[in-house]
Amino acid sequence: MPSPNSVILLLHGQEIEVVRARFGRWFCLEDGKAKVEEAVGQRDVGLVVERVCAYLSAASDQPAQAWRDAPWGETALAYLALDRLNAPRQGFPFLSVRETRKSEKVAWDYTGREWYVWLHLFASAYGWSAAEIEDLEIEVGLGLAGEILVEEQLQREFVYSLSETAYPYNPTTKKSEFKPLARPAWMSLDPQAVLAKARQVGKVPAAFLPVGNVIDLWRRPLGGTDD
Amino acid sequence: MAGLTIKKLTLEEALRLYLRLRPYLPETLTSDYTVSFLRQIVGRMSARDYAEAVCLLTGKQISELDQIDSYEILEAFLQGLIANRLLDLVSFSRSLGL
Repeated sequence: MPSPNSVILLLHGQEIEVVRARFGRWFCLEDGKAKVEEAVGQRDVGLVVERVCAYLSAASDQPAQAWRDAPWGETALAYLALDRLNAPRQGFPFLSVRETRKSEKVAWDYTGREWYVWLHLFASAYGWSAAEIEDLEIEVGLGLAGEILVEEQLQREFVYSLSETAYPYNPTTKKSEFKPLARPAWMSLDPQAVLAKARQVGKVPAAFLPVGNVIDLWRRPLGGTDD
Repeated sequence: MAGLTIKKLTLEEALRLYLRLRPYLPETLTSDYTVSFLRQIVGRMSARDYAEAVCLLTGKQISELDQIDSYEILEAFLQGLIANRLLDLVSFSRSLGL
């Protein structure tokens, strides 16, 4: 069964239909959700409610005050339903793998810059206008963003592999060896592969093996006598 | 119940009620409002939290509760928790991370 593209919600007892967000609005909603989480972290109920209602207003085109005055069950259900409706329906590695390094704040950063970074990403890759980018389907936008990032990284790796810095001298082997350019965490390895490698049983070095006549107590028959 | 009517809480009032009740709620909740479950909550609550919760559920001021019979207050409290779907409120508030 295909996932629905709209949901019927109750607001002050009236049914309203809300359609799934497009890429531009989805980005605002994700930002709104992060702000709700931030308010929850601060344990500030007033701020939590303000941000939940702002999220609902942005997702449903209804005034925030209407959600604020509605019975809590309607507001809570709407928040959960819209969060589910607008969640990406596919797993994108660059969204699911968390970077271990915390990116440093740069001097040219400002609030709301992230959306312009995405606009720049799409506009420079495909020459689309802001309106065209905003109107993409959520999954199309995220899928294309992933591909642009992969292509940029592979291009960077190719240019890097042509430079001298990619082949540092190893004094032990007395040779220059290729040192690949570090990839972002989401491109590095399949998380399943990392787990499988961790579970692998390696060969025990001879130095760590016991010396002398080893009696395997595990395999001795019960009640057996010593030789 | 002439003096006390139950309010349908807004999200802000409901979350404030949840925070009042949170210290007295068990970690896992049963799926229905058994008498013993509600009695347990009331039995554990401090007088202040109980009064504040009743005020949220009825829209009364603490000073106004002095003139109302304690059984009537208890009944309003229990009815208020049921009318405002306490179990759903707890599960929503916990899903938010509160």
